[in-house]
Amino acid sequence: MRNILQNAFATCLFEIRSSFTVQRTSVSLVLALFPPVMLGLLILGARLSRNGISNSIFQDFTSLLTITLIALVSLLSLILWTTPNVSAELEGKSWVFIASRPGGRLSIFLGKYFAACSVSFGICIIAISLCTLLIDSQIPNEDAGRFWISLCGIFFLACLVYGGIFSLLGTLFIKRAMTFAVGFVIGSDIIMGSVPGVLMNKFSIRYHLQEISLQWLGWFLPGSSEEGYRLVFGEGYSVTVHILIILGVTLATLSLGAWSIVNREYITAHEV
Amino acid sequence: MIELKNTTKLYNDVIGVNDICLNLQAGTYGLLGPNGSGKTTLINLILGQLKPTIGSVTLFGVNPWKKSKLLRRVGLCPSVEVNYPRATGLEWVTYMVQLHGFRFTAAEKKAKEALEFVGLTHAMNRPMRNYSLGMRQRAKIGQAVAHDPDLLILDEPFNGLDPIGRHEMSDFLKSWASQGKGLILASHILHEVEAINPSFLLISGGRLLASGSPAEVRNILADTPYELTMRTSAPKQLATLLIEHCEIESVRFTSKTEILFSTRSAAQLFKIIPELIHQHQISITEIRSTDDSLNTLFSMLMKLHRGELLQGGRS
Repeated sequence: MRNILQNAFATCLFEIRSSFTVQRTSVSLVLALFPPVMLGLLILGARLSRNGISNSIFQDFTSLLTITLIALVSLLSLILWTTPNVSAELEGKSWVFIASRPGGRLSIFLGKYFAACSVSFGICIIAISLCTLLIDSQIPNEDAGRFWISLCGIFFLACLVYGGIFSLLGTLFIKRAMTFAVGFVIGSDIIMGSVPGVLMNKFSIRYHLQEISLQWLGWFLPGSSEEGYRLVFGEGYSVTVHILIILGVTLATLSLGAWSIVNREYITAHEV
Repeated sequence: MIELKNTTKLYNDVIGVNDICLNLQAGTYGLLGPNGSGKTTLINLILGQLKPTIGSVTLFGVNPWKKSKLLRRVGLCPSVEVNYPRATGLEWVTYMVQLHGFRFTAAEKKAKEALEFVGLTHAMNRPMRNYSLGMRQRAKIGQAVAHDPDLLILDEPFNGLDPIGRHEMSDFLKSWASQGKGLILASHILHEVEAINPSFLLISGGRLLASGSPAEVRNILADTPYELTMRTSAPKQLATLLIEHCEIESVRFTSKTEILFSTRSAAQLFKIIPELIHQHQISITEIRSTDDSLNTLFSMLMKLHRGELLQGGRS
């Protein structure tokens, strides 16, 4: 086990070092800056219109927008980094070098997962920090620190669990892993997670992250009440249970992915 | 060292290797076959990267598909190109050694030793995108030998190397073989493998057509027509002399200065040429062997295998 983690860590470092091309760094920067830029434009628009939006609504709305935009970029980053975990090695013909090492397959799977989580969480931290600063610069709030920490915690969990799911999809579907990942997000988190069924939406990752957000950040959705939300989505569990569910799903998907990558034949085109 | 029992590998309806039985003790082996003959598939079966559809494979007495730990004892230099343009040779080889379970410091030390062994110390801190084909080939060899394996498997190691590089590669392989460690050298070019003096495994169409010592393979080759192109100032005179002194099957004048000979006695031809050109003061500017001899050999072996050709003679 120590060897596997040691090799995975080596792969993670090698992956991050050799992947930071101008192109990839630019993509990561664009992703990190997209939420604060969008938020900045929105704030500018609101200031220019001078409609007299109340501070409370303004803060709730910008917080919600921040979460939505960061969720979008973190998912995009994770999809870009994790889903090609096997296909990139097969296409780049480097698979054979890694797979012919003891535990090489596991190392590449876990190493790329760690690299994806690190980079995506890094993007999230930059975006969260800039957005928090932006909101705080408009309406100074003593809870800004708590907001920052809570969001970092939520997106850390999100990176872990979605990284695991997308890594698993990368080992199962070599050619269309990205499509399947986008399909999963739309099917599970957008459609299933929004279905007003008490049981069904609990199977989506979004439900658990949403529950943690509500308990950590409090109710801040403008123009609605928590009672109405509970009527549709049902009562949640404690934060610990939601975190345990998320960690459980992460562990399960990583185990399945590890089993799949070790026990599957990956055939490169030049072999046939 | 390696045992294959009735091993067959199918890629859906394509046969990769077909009913191969092998028992290889530690030593030097040349795995010869035309492109697409199943050499890489056979290597991947030996390394446990592929699971046989039928039959079994053992490496050092263990099923490699189930026990990847034994890959610690194997070094592989695949035929594919290294594709880490931004990484330096040292970074890449260190990473490859780390994946064998070494800590970074130990892995870096081994990587430096291996790169020195393959003569790449001077360029080890340069990104690999700046390496020539020969340098990348050396880096590949470096990552294969850095962890001091018991068995070294090289798939087409001469690909893309210039004559000096080929000579250096031959020297390296000879020195490796002299250490008494296992070596499997897969190639589609006979004379390059022959220089290492291994036991041959001849594979074509996924089948093991023949195996044996160099002498045994030479016996098979003795019956194989050998084609040789010569460029000379006196083609007609040279052709006449060679027909008089040697068993020539056919002669074709391909241009005003070029002749293509076909013979089943290549050794006799090579012996007589220097004597004839010395006696008759004929100038030969080029002697070129078409590598078709290997294709001819495989074609003959396939015919033998199918019973279309009687051993030692023509159909």
